Amino acid sequence: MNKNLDYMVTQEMVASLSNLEKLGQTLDQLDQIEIGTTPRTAVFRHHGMTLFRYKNETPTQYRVPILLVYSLVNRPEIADLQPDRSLIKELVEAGYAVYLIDWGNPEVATIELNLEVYIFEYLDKALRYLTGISQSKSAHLVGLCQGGTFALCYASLYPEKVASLTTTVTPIDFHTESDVLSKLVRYVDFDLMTELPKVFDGSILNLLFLFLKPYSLLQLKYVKLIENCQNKEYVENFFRMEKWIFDSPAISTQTCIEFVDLFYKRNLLVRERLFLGGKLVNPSNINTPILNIFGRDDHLVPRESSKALSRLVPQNKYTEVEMTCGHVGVYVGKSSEKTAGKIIGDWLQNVGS
Amino acid sequence: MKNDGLPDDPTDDLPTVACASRKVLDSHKNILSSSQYSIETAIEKFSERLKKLSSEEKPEVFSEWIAFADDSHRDLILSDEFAKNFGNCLNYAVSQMLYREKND
Repeated sequence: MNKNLDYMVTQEMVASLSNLEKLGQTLDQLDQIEIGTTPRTAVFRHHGMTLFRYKNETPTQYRVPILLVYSLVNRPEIADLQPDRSLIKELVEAGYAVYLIDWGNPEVATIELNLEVYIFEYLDKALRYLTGISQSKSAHLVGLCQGGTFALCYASLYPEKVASLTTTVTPIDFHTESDVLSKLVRYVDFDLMTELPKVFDGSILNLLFLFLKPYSLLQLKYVKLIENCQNKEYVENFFRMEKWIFDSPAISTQTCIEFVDLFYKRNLLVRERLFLGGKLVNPSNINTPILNIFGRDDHLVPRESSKALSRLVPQNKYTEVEMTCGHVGVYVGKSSEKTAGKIIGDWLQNVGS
Repeated sequence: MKNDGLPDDPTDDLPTVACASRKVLDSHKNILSSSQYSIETAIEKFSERLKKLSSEEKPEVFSEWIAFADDSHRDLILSDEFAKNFGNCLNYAVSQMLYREKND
């Protein structure tokens, strides 16, 4: 058996090494790698936040607009990574008016940032702007990852402004057994962190995420690149993803500390003790349809964490979809039969939007 | 100010500095030894898997090894012991950073 194993390992190594020189040839053929290519226009700005509207090639078919709420970590281009893997493009092509909140660079924000500013200032102002210019008094909120937690908080506080709520790979219960991030921060002294500069480099969090699955994300991924180096499409997609992963915006220290303390450490949302702006965040207030999409193999936000939403909101309003992929696979994976964009578009149609 | 970030006369702070340094050094040592144990566990499990390979199976050896290594690493970082050590190291690094900022 050992002899056989030696042979197999040698074969794999020889195959990889012989491919290595071909990688250079493929790289020479690549054009500039671009992500987030669906055309869009900035329509509203508030302090550092910008609201973008994606361009519809044909007139929109639905009165109620969609507002995408992204996380503070990394950039929203994951929802528009490439033309054939774009949640945004799919929703635009389905006939929706699609808007996205870009939280902006906290280094140049003209307001002292904290969790309440993101929810009561940025998210609320964006939604008010939207309902002001559209014929609808509410919008469909689609939250991505941490943005889903923000959207859920907002929908709980202002249910009348939300036509429907979609959460994607969104952490809800932060104390599930397999939640590595929550366990890692348990002994971190966040009182100490409050003395840090107002903004910190987002790549620190990136390193933390890589550390959660170091062998796959720092070794196997690059070996697979070499193995597939003659496949131009594979190589292009690889570098699109790399571009997204390693482009981490700066993060407001105060907001990060608050989020970790209220959610990761104290898990106040599922304990129904979360107060924002002096108001209790009670998800059972939401009386509009709710769609919860999560990845079966998500190592960042365990599926159990996302699924906890079902316990907090009215059952008759709630639908969940498990995709057979990991965290970012929900947005860019091809293993699932149906893309997240298609699932959301079809669901919105079914619930009468 | 010396290059190591300590004040010119750190005498008064010595017990505190020594205590904190000892704690973080222990945590760092624990992280290293538990990481080594995690890799050894992965190797052991992977070897077991290879022993059970039938002659017809032709697995992607490297990919399989990575799966075992990541699983073992995950078990490690999910443990309370690791979280304590991680917290100690991070808290120390932040306090050092703040200390230097205040004294530079």
